[in-house]
Amino acid sequence: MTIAEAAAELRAKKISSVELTKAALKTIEKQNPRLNAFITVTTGQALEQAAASDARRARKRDVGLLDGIPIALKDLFYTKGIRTTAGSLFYRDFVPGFDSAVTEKLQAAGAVLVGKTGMHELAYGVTSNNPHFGAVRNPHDPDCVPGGSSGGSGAAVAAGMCFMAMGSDTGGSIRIPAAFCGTVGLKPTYGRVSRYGSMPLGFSLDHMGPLTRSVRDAGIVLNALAGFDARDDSTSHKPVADYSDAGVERLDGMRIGVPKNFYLDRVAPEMLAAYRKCVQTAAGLGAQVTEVKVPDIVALNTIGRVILLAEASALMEPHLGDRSKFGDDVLALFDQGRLIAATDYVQAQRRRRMMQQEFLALFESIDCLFTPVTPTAAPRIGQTTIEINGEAEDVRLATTRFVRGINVLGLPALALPCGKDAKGMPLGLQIIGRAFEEETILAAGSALESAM
Amino acid sequence: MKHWQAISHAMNLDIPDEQLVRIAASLDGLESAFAPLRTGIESGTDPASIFRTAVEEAE
Repeated sequence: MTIAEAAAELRAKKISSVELTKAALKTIEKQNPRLNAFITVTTGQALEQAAASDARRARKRDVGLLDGIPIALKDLFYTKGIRTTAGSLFYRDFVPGFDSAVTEKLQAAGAVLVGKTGMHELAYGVTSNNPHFGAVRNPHDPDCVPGGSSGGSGAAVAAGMCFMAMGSDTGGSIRIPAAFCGTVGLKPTYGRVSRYGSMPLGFSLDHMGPLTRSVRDAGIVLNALAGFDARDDSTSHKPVADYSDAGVERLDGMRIGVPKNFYLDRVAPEMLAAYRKCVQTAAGLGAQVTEVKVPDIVALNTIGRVILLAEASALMEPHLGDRSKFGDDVLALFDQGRLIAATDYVQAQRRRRMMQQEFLALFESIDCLFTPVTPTAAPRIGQTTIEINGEAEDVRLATTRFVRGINVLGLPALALPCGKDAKGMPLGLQIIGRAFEEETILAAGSALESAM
Repeated sequence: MKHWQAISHAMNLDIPDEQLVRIAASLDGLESAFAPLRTGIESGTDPASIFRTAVEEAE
């Protein structure tokens, strides 16, 4: 069931929020020992919030489509009075004294928080194989990773533990778990959703967005989250659209770019076939499909790595002397970041502006760009390399290859399921749009979702 | 390639030598990829993240 469907049932009084919440909690109780998707389950508070939602509905004062819907937050969104670990030993017992902007907005929309989801340590990785809180597992195959860093959110939504879980995305951390777990994931434009009260990783690269079971649900959640926040300098005053429009069935006139270079060069055959099918489907729905040469994505990814290494290490510098509290993979990244020259960070930020101009030019001829989210389906837990067409590649670099650069550009990107590999593991399509035009990528995703 | 161990010691970082050996290949790869991107940036190109004054933010 989707948020839109559950909201309709709530409004029709066919079900109550307390019933929905109890069902979600029961699923968590049953599935969490197998999947480790949640670090904290907030049973008591969830049932109180659900009862309050039912009371509002009884008085005909429900506050929207999210009112009474069980949701979860990645464990880096501050929640007043509820511990927020960021998957790190440093914050194992940290209980914030205030809510993040995302938490506030979801509460104002009446959503019911059932818990905080597991993640890659400090959001700095793609496997969610957390040395301190245990590996999060993929609901489609518990021996495989759910992706990361928002792995618990992907697993929780895919396993039916909640209708939506919030993630954060600094180099693919919403889109990768969405693709690996077979859910929808939306990384809004940088500045569309406030970062206030969410533990940062890369100040200029962090984006907050939902993982959901449908494209429309992602739009419903974005409606609740989008907008300026004086507490986050990067948020925009640009007007917020209605993202919850449903029923897009045709893509007549939409100009879809299919990359000639980079994105389809080194991809597993099953992913390539699924991707081609999406493009074909979009064309069948009336879209105008155009082959385009994309700017240098290798350079874009390199810029992203320099910026992230420097920003993340600056952020964690006060803790870096306490080396035993970090997992090996994460500590290796922090150590690398300390060796990045200040001049390189500045040059990367200058190059970033130049790349932004190149992409602005690309998006003059197209409305959105279709790419795979990742070159393969989810790797196994503990796997360090992926073989693609006979060539071995580091799991982290391979998994972030198609997504990292989009954080450098700040553009909105949607991940949605587009098929499965021979083992039944989900594959994901990425739809990238112009800045602050989330409605376009949601429309494209919604039409594809209905057609496929 | 840069001598990461020497840089780390000169900066007085507490990164153990065995860790420096472990991360050197990754840093070398990044250094090679980034080297050509240091050149050809026009002098008028500001970094993508720049300071904005409070007055501008309020507009």
